[in-house]
Amino acid sequence: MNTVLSLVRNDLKRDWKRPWSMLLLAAMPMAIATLIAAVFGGSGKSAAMPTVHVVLMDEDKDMLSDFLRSMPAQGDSANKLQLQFVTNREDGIELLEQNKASAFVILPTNMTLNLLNGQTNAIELYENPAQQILPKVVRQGISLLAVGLSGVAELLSGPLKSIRELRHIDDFPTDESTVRVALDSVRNLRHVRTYLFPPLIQFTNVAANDYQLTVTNSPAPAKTP
Amino acid sequence: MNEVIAFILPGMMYFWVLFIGQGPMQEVIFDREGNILPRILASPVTLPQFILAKMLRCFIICGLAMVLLVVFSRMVYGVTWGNPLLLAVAIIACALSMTGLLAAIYSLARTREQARTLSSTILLGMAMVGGGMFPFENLPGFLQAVGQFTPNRWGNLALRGVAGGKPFADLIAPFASLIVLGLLGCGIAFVLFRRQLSTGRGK
Repeated sequence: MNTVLSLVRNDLKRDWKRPWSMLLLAAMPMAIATLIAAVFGGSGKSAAMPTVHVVLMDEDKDMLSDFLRSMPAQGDSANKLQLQFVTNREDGIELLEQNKASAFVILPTNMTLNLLNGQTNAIELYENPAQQILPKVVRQGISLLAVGLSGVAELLSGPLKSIRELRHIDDFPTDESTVRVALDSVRNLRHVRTYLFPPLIQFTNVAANDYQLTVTNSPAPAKTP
Repeated sequence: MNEVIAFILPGMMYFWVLFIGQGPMQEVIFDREGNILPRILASPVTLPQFILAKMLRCFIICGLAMVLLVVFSRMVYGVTWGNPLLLAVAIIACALSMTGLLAAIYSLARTREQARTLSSTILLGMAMVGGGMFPFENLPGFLQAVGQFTPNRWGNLALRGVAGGKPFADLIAPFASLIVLGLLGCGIAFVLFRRQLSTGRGK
């Protein structure tokens, strides 16, 4: 064993005199880990999500497009999505060419009416070719919107038609019409209740005497005088 | 940033320290090919002692390199490595498995070129499927199945487990695997080196 140890000692002394190749190799994992962390890990603070600028031309000017126009002004989306409205196609394209927007969206004429009548609509989308990610985000958003609008129009076409008619009358809506819209909506939504409102927690009524028998893991309730 | 480093470093560390540990094993072949070995054996040093000395040196160098990296990452990036005692066991187990792996590879090679090619291929392949280069969880199923048998995978699990504050009971499997792999590799390499060097094969 002494011979082995003296051999090792001699070799290690030799290594100690010329450590550079080993130190260089030892620095590699640190350097690579630092590089990867710098590229993917950042400084530890998450980068702020950029604001998506979208140019919108509303040719529909009806209930659903009004609703869509008001959406970006609510909640978090007010900071993340900025809409700029134009009245003609040329202005929208020009803004794209000036790289002032990520996408240009055109809501077609009679979109609301066609949707409520079960007819196909085409939302036009122009993506800014000078940008990489944000136009794709808008495209995904528009696809999602199209699916959502189709679903809503199919499910609530009756009540939505009534709401649309109520919007066009000058008087305050009558109680009967308001109740009818509410009842129709609730009735239609009941068909998809399981999908829209899946129960996360279920409540059941338990008699006080049965409480200890049914609940085994929960602590017993405090006794009251 | 230090979380990312703590995640990447164990795999990288295992892979690169293997390259550092190659030195002593390369010397076995250099000494044989350069006719230095007969001169060493002419002194009161036996062949088993010569082989054991190289393996022990490989073990010490791998262990020291890992300690250096742990200390450096702690001081510069503030990476937390958990219980020092468990970390010491993890480093010893990793160094042992590295010694076994390297010794086994070099005992199979007959020439310097063969050793170089064999070691690079095996070490790179093991790092790839063992989670040293890519996250192991993202590898396809069949590669994960292969990767389970690499010391890189177990080294990674041991070091990350210790850094993550896992209790000793959870670390027994990686520690045991590394130690068994190391002892097995050292045992096989010892027999092969002895046979090879005593018959002068590969000259």
